[in-house]
Amino acid sequence: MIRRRPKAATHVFLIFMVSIILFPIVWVVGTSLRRDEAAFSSKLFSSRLTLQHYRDLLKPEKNIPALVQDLQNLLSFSGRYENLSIEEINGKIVEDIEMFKHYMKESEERFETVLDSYNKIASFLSENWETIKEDVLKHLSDVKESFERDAKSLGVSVEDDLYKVVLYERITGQRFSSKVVKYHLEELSEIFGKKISNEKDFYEVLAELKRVYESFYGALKEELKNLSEFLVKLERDIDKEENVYQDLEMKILSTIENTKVAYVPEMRSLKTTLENLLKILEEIPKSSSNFEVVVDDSSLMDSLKEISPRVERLKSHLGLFEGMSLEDTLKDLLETTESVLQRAKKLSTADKKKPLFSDFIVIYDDISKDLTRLFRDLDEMVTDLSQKLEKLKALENRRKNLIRKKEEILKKITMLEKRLRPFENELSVYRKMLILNEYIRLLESKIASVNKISGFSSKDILKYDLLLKSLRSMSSNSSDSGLSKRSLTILNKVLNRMKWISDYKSFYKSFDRLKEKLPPVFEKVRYLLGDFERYYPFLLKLSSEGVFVSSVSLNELYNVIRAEYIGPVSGDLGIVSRKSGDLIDEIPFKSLKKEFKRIDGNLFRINQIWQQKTKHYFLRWVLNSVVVSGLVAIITTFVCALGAYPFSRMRFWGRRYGIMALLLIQMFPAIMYMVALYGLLSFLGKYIPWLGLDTIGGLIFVYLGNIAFNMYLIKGFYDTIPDSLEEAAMMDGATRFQTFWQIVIPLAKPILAVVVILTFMGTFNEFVLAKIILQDAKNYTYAVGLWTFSVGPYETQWGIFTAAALVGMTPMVILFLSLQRFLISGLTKGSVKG
Amino acid sequence: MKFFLKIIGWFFLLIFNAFLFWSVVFLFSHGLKGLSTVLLITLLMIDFFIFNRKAYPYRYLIPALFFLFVLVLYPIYFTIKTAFTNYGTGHLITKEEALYRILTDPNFTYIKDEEKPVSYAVFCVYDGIKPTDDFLILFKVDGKLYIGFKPLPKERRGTEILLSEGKLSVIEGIEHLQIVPESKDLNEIRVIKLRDKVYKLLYSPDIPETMKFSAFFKTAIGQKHLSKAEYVHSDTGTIALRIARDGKWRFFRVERLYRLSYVEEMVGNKLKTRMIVVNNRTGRRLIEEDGAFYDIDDEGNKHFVIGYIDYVGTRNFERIVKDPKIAGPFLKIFVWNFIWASLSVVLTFTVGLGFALILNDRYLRGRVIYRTLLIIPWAVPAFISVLVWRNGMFNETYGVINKFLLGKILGLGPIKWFNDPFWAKFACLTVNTWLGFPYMMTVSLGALQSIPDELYEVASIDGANRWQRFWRITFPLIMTTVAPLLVGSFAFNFNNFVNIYLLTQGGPPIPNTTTPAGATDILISYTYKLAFEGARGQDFGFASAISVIIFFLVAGISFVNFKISGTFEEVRR
Repeated sequence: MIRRRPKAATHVFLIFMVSIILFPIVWVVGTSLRRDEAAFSSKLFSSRLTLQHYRDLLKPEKNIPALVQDLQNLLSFSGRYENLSIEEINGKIVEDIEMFKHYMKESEERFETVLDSYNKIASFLSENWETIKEDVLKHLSDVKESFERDAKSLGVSVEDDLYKVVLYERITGQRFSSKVVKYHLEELSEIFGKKISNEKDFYEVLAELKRVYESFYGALKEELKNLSEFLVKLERDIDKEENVYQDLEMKILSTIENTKVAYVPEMRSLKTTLENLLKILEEIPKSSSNFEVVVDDSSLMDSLKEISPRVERLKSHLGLFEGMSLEDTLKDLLETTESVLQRAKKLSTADKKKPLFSDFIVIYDDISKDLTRLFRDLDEMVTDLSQKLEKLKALENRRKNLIRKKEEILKKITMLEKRLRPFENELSVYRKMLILNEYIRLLESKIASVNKISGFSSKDILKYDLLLKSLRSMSSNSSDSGLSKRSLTILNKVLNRMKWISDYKSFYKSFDRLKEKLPPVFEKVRYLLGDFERYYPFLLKLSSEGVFVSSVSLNELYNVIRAEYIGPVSGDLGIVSRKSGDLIDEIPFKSLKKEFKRIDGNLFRINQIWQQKTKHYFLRWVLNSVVVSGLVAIITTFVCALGAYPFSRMRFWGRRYGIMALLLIQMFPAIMYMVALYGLLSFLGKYIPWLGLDTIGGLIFVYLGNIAFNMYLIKGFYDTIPDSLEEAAMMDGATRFQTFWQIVIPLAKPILAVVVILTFMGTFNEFVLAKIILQDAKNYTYAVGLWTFSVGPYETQWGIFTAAALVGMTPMVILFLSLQRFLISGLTKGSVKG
Repeated sequence: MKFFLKIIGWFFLLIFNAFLFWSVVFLFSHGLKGLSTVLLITLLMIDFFIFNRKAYPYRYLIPALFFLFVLVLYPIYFTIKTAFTNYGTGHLITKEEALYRILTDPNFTYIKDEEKPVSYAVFCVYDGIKPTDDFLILFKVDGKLYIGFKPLPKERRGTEILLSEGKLSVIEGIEHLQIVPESKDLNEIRVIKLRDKVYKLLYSPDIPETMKFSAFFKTAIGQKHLSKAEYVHSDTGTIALRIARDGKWRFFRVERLYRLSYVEEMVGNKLKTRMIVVNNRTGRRLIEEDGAFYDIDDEGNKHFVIGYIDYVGTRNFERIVKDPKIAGPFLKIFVWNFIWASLSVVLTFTVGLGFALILNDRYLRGRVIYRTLLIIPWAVPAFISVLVWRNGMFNETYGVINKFLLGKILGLGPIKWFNDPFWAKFACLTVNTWLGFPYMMTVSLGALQSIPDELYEVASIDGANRWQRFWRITFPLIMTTVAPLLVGSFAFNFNNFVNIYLLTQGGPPIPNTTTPAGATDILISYTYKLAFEGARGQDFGFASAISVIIFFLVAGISFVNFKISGTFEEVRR
């Protein structure tokens, strides 16, 4: 044989995989039975079990908030009580009030039991204070012992110089009276061989430590510190410079931009004028005229005097605008102006008497003012700009210097750090030692304080709780301290053992609040209920005459439940309940477990009575699903059984194409036509209401389209029934239909049953069409209903969701597994799931 | 007996024929020409089958044909047709219907600005002390008293009443009418006797003592009978109930807002008469654009009045290609749909085959138990499993995976299962593998058992190692039986709406798109969201266009499947 017997490893692997794969199912079962809110719990599974979720689903209780609602409806003849007579309403109100009273009594009795248990627990614990104390002391000394072993195993001594260095780091800057110093006093006296009893002694010792510290580190550490400080300062300076630089840069840019906007058009127009003038000037010498004109050219001369130096200066600064459109414009203008000026200067006196010159002067006078102003402005601006630019350059240099300096310092710092590193490694051992020593001192002081405890009062509990807190911080900081793995395990074990004390603390604190708050609520509710009982007949009478009435006491009841129970009371109740659940597992006294269980159970029940529950129609949904699936299954099977017969037994035109069509059609899921089906139903619903949208009838109708695959399946089975039986029957005179009905159908019973169940399951599991067609929560099928249980406000209410899921899936799984054989053979023929 | 049965049969046939024929006519008259044609064909075929002796085999097919025609063929036709229209929110009725509503619907009326409310008092028959909705209304118009009777439906669409009209008549002319006390002042009248019925005062906004019934009047009479009602008399004009400026429900004289009119227009060279709708108040005509009527106000702003279903040609398909805000996301969805289907098949088949190879060992103890346990994910209804996975396992804050597996055991940060596109896809595939591997396992087991042992014996004699034996013998032999099922599984997963929609609802959303597209959306879930969940209303036209695309893709995949599985040959026999 080739195959060997499978090894154990195969089984291990399979069991591992199966448990992973079935985990979601196990989770569903576990969560549906949990009493606490699974979504917010830190545990995957809980030992506090309940069937409450199933009760809420399958047989919802009319608890107190529901009763109040019901009474209000009864009183105003609204909801489903619209058509009841006054006597019937009266009867129902009396019934409700009775129930209400019954719940009140139950709650109060249960609370009595809870109180009783609580007292028992409290007295038991205060009687057994010594046991608790001894227990704690034992745990503490275990931890301490383990820590001491750790300290020893580090292999360094307190008297080493390096320890002194570490110690100095720790206590420098601390006062003599501070806790940290106290922890180390003993060591100090050990190290220095003298008793340190006052501040003076302490400072002497500290000075000694400092000496060691400095001799060890030398100036290295100090230098590093200085350098870092300097670096910070430098960075601040660089930031400042940077700001100034950017400010200036912005200013310059905006100046240039403004110039562009303000002067460029003017410059362009002036340039054109000047060019024309230049042409005139060129013409003057050539022109000849018979008569002379005397022109006053003083204004020209003045203007020339003023403009020419500015032009010179502007020209020399042109570089400022390098690369900008402004540069070209300005350059053009300057050049033109310059040539005009030169020409004008060159003119001879004779020329100046020519009439053309006078024309020139007239035109020039016209623009000279603008020209002068423009050049003045430009000149001023350029001077300003060039100054600013110089400043900018200086700033830039300074900044560069600073950055260079910073880099140098950084280099120095890394060098220093490199030199310090080997010491650090060595020191870390001593640091661990230091922390361990502190822990040991802390434990010693705690042991001493626990030793003083003589009882189990709230003060004592607080002490224990503080102790737990410091232990917890030791455990969470374990990576810094030199705790060995073993010590950490011991520490965590001790923490686990003692956790019940801190849980008990929150338990009794919440319970004390609950004790204060719950009875007044009971009392108020009782009073208001009595009030309502007395006055409701009058209100009812008024209401029956058509007046809208609302009872003050009923409203008040509602408010008390909403505002005083839900929230303030239910919060504490939840904590007490949860903590007692935890304490059942944690408390080291067996006799108390029973009491905690009683508290937990009774409080849970009280909460169920008083809690407001969301309304749902779960049973209705299941019923809808069963009705829809059942009818669809039966009709589909009937139609298919009939339709498959000719395909199997007869030869007719279109048979082959028919089968092909069936095969093709079954490939298209019905949701592909969702728009069409929606439209069809919305139209039908207007004329045949029970076939419309949001009706069960419409849904059934739509599901009936899914017959192609089943017809093919049944046809396949018919093919296996021998023809001879029918032939024999027909010889005896049976009609074709008779043979079908009386021979083929009975023989095909197994496949028909399979088709019925398959269709039932398929329809039961269908979600999309139901979601589209059904809108009112009352009409939902199970699938849509379950979906609503997983979204919105229900998203974290896992209890009810998983319970609902389990209710739906169990019958389906059983059906599936029992039909496995048929399904597999049928499905391998073409249909697919998954 | 036989004769008797035959008579009953014929009788039923007659009724059936009459009903279907009536339906055909009725549907045709209501604009559902497609459905009416389908029904007519069905009817003719059924009659042919019954009356023709040669068509005997078809008689068995009648019910199946009926359902297939109405629930498969018609929907396919309807989907294709809708793909070329703008059917969707705002465009839900035909053009004729839209015009009709513009002209008759009580919503399209206006109160003349200067018009004062008409004073009225409602009287009803009391059942003991309870008021009922058998009522009359007294109006005082221009100093004259009129009596208005309970309105009767005038126009209805199925169960929906579009318009009802109440008879209005002058008091003097009515016989057997007695008013107590005899008065002309509306506020004094308390009882009206009409024949043998006694109507007592129920409500009037001007009589304070009747206020206690104002709620009853509003719900039981106002909303139920008067919201779509008009009272018409030649002297008074149309009177209808509206909510007045002071918040009270009062009657006003109303006028129709729109009327039909005709204009002559030059179309080409011919003068043609065209029908238009005109606003009575402003005198402007309505604009018809994109399958809707728009009103223009004084500022020249357009206001949507009513839309209708209109053919838009291939616009819906063009949008998929051309509109950049749709084309990008659509391409993503399209590609992911193929990746999703193929990866689903590969993953489920790999895992399933793996388990099958382990379990296909007849010396393995408890293999039936293992197999049964491993089949459970298949047995649990898929939608339940998906919801459990989403809520319990993948929930980002409370879920088992983030809180326990990653948080407590591995000490890692939470993964954004539903907000990170990659992890959302990962989650979808994980769940689908979980759901689907048992099927593949079962199928592979069946295929493995049909491989004869001799093959392996011969191979091992020839010195083949395990690896070679698997790749050279097991795998090829399995593939021959399993390949068609893999294609079938591909087709199934291609449209696996439940898994995607219930797990991620297609999210996280793809940014920068005008349609509700998400990173894990496949075409079918995209269609669903377009049709039923869009933030801007329903877009059936576009959804249908995508359905048509899916239709062709599935048909293609099916063709491949039939080719591989040899279905064509099987059917031909």
